[in-house]
Formats: sequence, structure tokens, C-alpha cells
Amino acid sequence: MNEERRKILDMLAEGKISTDEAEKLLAAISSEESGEKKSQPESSSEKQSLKYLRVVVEPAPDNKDGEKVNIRVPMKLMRAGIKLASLVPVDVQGKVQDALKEKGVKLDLSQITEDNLEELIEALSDLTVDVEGKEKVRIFCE
Amino acid sequence: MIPTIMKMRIYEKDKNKIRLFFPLIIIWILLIALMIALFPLILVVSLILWPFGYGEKLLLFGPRLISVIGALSGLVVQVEDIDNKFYLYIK
Repeated sequence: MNEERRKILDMLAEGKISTDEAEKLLAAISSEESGEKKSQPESSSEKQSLKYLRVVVEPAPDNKDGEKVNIRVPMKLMRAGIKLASLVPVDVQGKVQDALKEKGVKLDLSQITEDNLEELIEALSDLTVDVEGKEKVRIFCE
Repeated sequence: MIPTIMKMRIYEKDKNKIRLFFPLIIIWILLIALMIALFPLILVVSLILWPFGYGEKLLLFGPRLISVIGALSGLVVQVEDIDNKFYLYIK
């Protein structure tokens, strides 16, 4: 934005634009800057207001025997759980990871630290999964 | 907000229905009393284990466990099919 202001002032100095035009252009730039600053806190506050991870499974209309699942997990539970998991001794973590690998989940618990925890939860906030087949599966944050 | 109420309902076909309403405040009181009673012992054990790297983890375990229990507020688990229903709500 400073470069744009400089260009305007250079154009004014070179006489390419009048003072009124320069004033209007500078006012337009400052209003754009204030608009960007307002939108950034709104998007971050939208992400902070996301409180739950939802998993919803509904059977297809022609599948009366299907299961319905509705799970709502608070985001703060995930944060607290990961912080608690960081206290697990390293040798026990290895056993847990081996057990998860047997189930097909390749997860390295030692890589999940408090520093990247917020990045993980922020990434989850953007997660939306919609699958339709015999059952309708929705995973999202709200 | 800390969770204070737990509601659980289990319906199985041809079996007794289970409906449970449990005030979690009782758990909180028992947990706090237990932690106060065990704190001197935990402190001594953590000091003994400190050179081995487990002392800090032992001291942090209690508060983090409480934070996990405190974060349960708002948890909903609902699973149902044609014959069975399970509902858990922690508020």
C-alpha cells in the first residue's frame, strides 16, 4: 500500500494528476486498507467461534435399516486431549502408534505439539466432507 | 463452562431401557477432594522421579486431566438403528 501512495504522490509531483484527484485516490486506498483490516479479524473470529466438530451419518431414504449417527465433539476437548497425550511417555507412544498403524492410521504422536495444535484445529475448521451413497456422511465444523 | 450434567439413554429391542441422569458436580467434588488429599504424595513422588524426566509429567497430569473432563461440555454422541438407540449428552 505504501508503494501505491508513493505512485500517487509521484504522479502529483509530475503534474499527471491534480491535487483533488490525488486526494480522492489516497482516500480510496485508505478505505480499502480499513476494509481489509476489518475483514481479517472477522475471518479469524469466525474461526475462533467454531466450537464443535460434527459427524453426521444418515441412511439413504430407501434404506430403512441403516444406522443414524450424530456426534458433536467440542474443539476444546481436542485441544485438551492432545495436551494430555503429550504427557504419555515416549515408549508408550510408540506402542500406541504401532497399534494405530495396524488399524491403518499412520499417526506420529510426537509430531503433534502445542505449537502446531492451533494450525491443526484451524485446518480442521476448513474441513467439510460430504459423501453420498448408501449412507449420507457429513463431517464439518460449526 | 464446566460440565455439570450427563444424560444417557440406551434402548435395546426386547431389553430394559436405561435412562441415566447424572449430576457431574458430584464427580467434580470427589475429584477435587481426591487431588487435595493426594497432592502431598504426588509432590514427593514427582520430586523423586524428576531426575528421570517423569516428575514434571506427573505434576501436569492432574491439571490436564481436569481440563479434558472440563472440555467435555457440549459432547453429544447419538447412534441409532431400527432396533437400538444410544444417546449421550454432557452439558
